[in-house]
Amino acid sequence: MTRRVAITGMGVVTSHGIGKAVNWRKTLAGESSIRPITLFDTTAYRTKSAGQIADLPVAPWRRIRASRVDRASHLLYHAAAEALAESGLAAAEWYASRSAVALGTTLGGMASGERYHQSYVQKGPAHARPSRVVDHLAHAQPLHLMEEFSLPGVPRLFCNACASGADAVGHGFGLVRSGRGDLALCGGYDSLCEFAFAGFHSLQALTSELCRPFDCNRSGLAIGEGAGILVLEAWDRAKARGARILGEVLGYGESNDAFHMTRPDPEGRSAALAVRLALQDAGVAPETVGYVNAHGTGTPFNDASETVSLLAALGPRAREIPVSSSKSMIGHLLGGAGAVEAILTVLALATRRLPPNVNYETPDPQCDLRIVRTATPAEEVRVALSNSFGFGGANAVLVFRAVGVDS
Amino acid sequence: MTDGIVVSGIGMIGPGAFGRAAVVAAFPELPETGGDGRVSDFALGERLEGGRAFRRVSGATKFALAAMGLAVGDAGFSAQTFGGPDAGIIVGLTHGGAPYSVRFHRELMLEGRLAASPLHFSESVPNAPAGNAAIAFQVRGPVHTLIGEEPVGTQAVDLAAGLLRTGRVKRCLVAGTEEWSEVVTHAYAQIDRARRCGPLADGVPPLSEGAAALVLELASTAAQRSATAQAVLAGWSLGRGLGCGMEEAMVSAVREAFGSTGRSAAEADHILQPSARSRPEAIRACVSARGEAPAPATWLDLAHAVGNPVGASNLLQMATSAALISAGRVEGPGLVLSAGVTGTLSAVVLCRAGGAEP
Repeated sequence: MTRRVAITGMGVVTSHGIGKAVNWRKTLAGESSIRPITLFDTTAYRTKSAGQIADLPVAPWRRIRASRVDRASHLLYHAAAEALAESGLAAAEWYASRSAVALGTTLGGMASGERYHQSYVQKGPAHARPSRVVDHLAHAQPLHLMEEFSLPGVPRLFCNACASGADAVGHGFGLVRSGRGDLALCGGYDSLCEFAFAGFHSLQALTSELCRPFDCNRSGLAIGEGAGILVLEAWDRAKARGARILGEVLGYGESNDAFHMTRPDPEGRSAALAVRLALQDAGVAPETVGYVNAHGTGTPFNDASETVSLLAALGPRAREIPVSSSKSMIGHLLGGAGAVEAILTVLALATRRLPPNVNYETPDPQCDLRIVRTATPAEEVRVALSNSFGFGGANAVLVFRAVGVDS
Repeated sequence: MTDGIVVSGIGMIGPGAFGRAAVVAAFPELPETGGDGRVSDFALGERLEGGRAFRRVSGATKFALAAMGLAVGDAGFSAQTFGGPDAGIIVGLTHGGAPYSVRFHRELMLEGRLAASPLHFSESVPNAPAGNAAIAFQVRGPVHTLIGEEPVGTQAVDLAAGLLRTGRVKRCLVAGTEEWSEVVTHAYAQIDRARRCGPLADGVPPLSEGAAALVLELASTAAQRSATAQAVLAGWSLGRGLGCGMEEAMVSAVREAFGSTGRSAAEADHILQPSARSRPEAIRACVSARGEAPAPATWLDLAHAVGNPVGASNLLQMATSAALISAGRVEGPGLVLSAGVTGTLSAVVLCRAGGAEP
């Protein structure tokens, strides 16, 4: 059984702000929301800024004490609230349907874990508050979300580093398409915390300058925080209930580099395999791809490897396909990246406008792709890819199609 | 007849002397490991071909690699022949390599950012065991890490089964791994004390560590390469029970898990019960699901033998059942029950190959 899969709700929160409208407006404008970090002291670090969400409002939890939950849970709440409201699906419909929740994160509620451990070390184990460690556990955030929004079932939480969000969307897509589920709430999230920041700093992956994906002078990534949630639904069911269909998920490809824990395979073999598998899964030819929302972290290794993989999978035509990364504006959202970038890709298809890859000035012969420098009209683009690659060699590629295109 | 999912390889790394041979020898009891729930020091290089390359990784990764190495060898593969784009790995865990996270954060807090080791960070990410395993076994297909409570092992099996049935992979390593951590143990003790509102919290098993791995294949794939099917994963179910709904949810899970097997819960000849937190509800649910005149069953309490290796516990239970079935110590079906503190739960049915037609 194979069914078409519609996207009927999307919610996003990044350093651009809360909601699709502000995110899409600032993304198209090429606005940078990389700002000085205030969540922790950066004096000791070479890098001082990140895609931190300014003045994140406390989510209006009804069933859970807001002060008890991690920042990551608040991100997830805001994104899920927008997506669920847009879908128009009431809690009863989630219970009455075969529904699933699939989410992705890299470090879950690590900020709470940090605070717990800090008290444990500095004040003594007896003074560390156990309520903090409860929300440190990565599976706590999906459970809180499901309790708050009355979503049934057992959440599936993917922790495949920076590909987590895309894998969760791919999983939800697979369930609905195969008929094993009718509805899926899926996406990814991660909040900014010193642990992750220091970790990427220790790996010398953070830039202290501007993040410039695919630029010859790129010097590293900017870390960020955020969440993206998509509601996926069987196409016929969505049509039957008169839901507004925002886009279509066509395919998903996944693979592993089996090369190195933190470095991508410079030959991009498995990443290319993921692209090929995604296209095969989608049943579309490489020639139909009109836009690639790249993983594009801005590190020398990643962008070169991604270029090689696109050329291997799509052939020389890869050089003609518009490519951009949003990470130079909002930072790398880790577990949230794949889902947020999937949403930006769907918005690009829906609005027929391709988002820019800001800070791109000097072309790099190693990244000889057609980088989108400013927001570009794209009337002809119907099919787009969203790439996500992560630590541990994880590769996930999603294929989307604009609404109004016949299968 | 649907092409069933078979276990063609089993690997177990438990505390003390807990392992496959000890489990089979000690039946109908489980081997007493004594000790502190910790896995004895071992050289990975002696347990896994090329294992020396992973000498600096976290304990959670080492345990996983060792268990996977045993499972891969048991299934008739080697580290060189298992992988490829048509092989997959699914790892389930709760905390994973928490000691490396603690070390990284402690270095950062007490010695400053320059002292914080990048290795401790990269081994802190939950998918470090799966990522390293992909390298060790050259697995280029889907490699996923799932996080959850004790029943996360059943989630891993469910995901692997989906990949096998759609033809995305031909063989899949499913593993659970956990490394003991002083900080996590302290936190759990605090949480248990905070939640204690009756006698149920007594006898909560101590947190422990270990890993288990299974090689899963479709029965037809295993048969084509003349591999021995050690056991069949005949049925499974995941659920969640909140508060007093736990028992009811477990009954549903047991019935659903047996539903596709053509067998009844009353036929189970061995039952692996969950850790002490939800044991009374699980036992009542199991008795209820088995009906009035069940065949006698041997109840096995892994928590008593090895403590609670949280995210690894469910796969250790399944590996134990599969090992007993494979060795002919039980006929099957075996029922594996698992439950977490927030009410997530699962039931898994394992049968002897040829003894079930799911």
